[in-house]
Amino acid sequence: MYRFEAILVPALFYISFCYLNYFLFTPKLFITGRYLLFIIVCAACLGLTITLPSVISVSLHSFPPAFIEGPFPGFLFQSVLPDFETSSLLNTMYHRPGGWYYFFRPEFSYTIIVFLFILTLSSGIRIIQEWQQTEKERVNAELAFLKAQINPHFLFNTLNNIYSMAVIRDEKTPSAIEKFSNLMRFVLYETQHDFVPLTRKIEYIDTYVELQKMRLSEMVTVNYEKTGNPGGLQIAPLIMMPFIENAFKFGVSTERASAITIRIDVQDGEWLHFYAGNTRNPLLEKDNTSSLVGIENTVKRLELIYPGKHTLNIDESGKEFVVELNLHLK
Amino acid sequence: MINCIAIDDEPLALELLADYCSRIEYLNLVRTFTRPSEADMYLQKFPVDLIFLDIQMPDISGIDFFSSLKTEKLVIFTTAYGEYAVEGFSLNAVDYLLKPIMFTRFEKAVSKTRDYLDYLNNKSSARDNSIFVRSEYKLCRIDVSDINFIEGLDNYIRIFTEHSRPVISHMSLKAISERLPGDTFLRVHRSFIINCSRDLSYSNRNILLGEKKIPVGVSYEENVKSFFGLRKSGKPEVQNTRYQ
Repeated sequence: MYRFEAILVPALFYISFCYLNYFLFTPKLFITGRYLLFIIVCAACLGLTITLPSVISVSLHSFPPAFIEGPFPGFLFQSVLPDFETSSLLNTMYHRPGGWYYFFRPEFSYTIIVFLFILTLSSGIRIIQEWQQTEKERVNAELAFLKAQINPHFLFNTLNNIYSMAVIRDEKTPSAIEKFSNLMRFVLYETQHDFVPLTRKIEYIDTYVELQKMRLSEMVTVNYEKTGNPGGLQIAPLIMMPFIENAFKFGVSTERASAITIRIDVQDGEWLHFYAGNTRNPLLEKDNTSSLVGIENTVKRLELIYPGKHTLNIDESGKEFVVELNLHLK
Repeated sequence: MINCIAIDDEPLALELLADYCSRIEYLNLVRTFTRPSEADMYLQKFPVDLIFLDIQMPDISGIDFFSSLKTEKLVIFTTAYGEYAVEGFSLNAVDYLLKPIMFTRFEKAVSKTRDYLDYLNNKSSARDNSIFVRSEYKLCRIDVSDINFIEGLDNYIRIFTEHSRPVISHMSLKAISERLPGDTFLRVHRSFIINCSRDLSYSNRNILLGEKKIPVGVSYEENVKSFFGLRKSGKPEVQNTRYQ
């Protein structure tokens, strides 16, 4: 009878400690940095695990433990020591937990080892989970931030140009406002999804290119070509736009003739060939490094969302800055 | 007539300025440029009074362009990015216009330019009672009769006026006092000049101007006393001239 309890009672202690540690001690004490309190609580639990099962076991049995044969019931693991350990001498010790030699019982080492094993395991799992969670939240927050972003310079410049058009009574003013409104709708609402229809994305690029053209002088030529049928395909946001923004940011000059080329080609209903090229302006590249960050992020996103489904080639060796991207969308 | 040119990398911004300039009769917009280098060549050949200059341009910033000019020109900067864009540059700009530019704001900047040109050419006009000081990177016109007193702080002065916020300018009290009419303004302290045409009271080596108590410096005491007619038998135009 007591043998059953000898396993069950300590096991209940271990299990409850395991859960308490996982749900309470580790998140509330260890992760929040209250290490001392954490150690004290764990030590207290270890103490209880050592002493209480014996006490419970004894109190359940009204007969004197002297009659109990075999190893001591209070511990999950049997002693590896020879038989004499289980003699009446140890039984006597068992009745006197206050005695100093009580703590040198070999069974304790097993209890401590099992306890530490459970402690490490439950805390470890919890810590790893917390870390993964924060990492995930961080990545999501970063992505949401990037998705919601529209280059403020572009925004203000476009508004200023529309203002100018309105003042000089340009007949294209309403159409510029309509384009701007489409752009804002896309940026504010549609980039919140993980994937957007490719047709919508291309419409957005159309609008963006139109609005950019509005502000450029005659020194800049914009070549924008679309071929193939994008119907029914989906694409993750922020894949093509960073490259296009980059081309418009670094491909303009007031002093030299420059060209910006953007080509979007959909083939066989599943492949997207994207090309963005611009004449490099060394005066603009001189003190701007932020665009490279934008491109790095896009490269990371491509690896994350389209692993093994894309090829990206960035060439900045010549007079042109060229980005070529092939993306398998199915 | 003010002859001006405008430089901006965006054609639409130039169209706006052209439209505004055509509405002001004393302003003659001679040419507009999207290429700063072309404007530079033009400026070397033809006299121009005023330049409207965009700050953010791809090849050269308006600030760099202006600093590189060989001859001194009046400039009104235009920018889409707020005044922070010009902080740290102490250029001789007449004004800064934040895009989108409202016509009333444009008109104000241009009329200030006209007054400043008149002031530079020593033309006396109805607006003769104004002085120009540089404040917050632009030129500021202050009506002399509006000044209550001027406080000097190290290399700066603070001009307290009746109707607007104090104007801070980088100049000495001595420099400003030379530009003020001597009969209305009186130096009363190492760091104070007051407008004597205001209601003043003098006691305990302090002058009370409105709510403000202005100390009188030891070396200026004689001057102040003679102004208040305390030593000489001057006219008692000021009330409460009790002196202890």
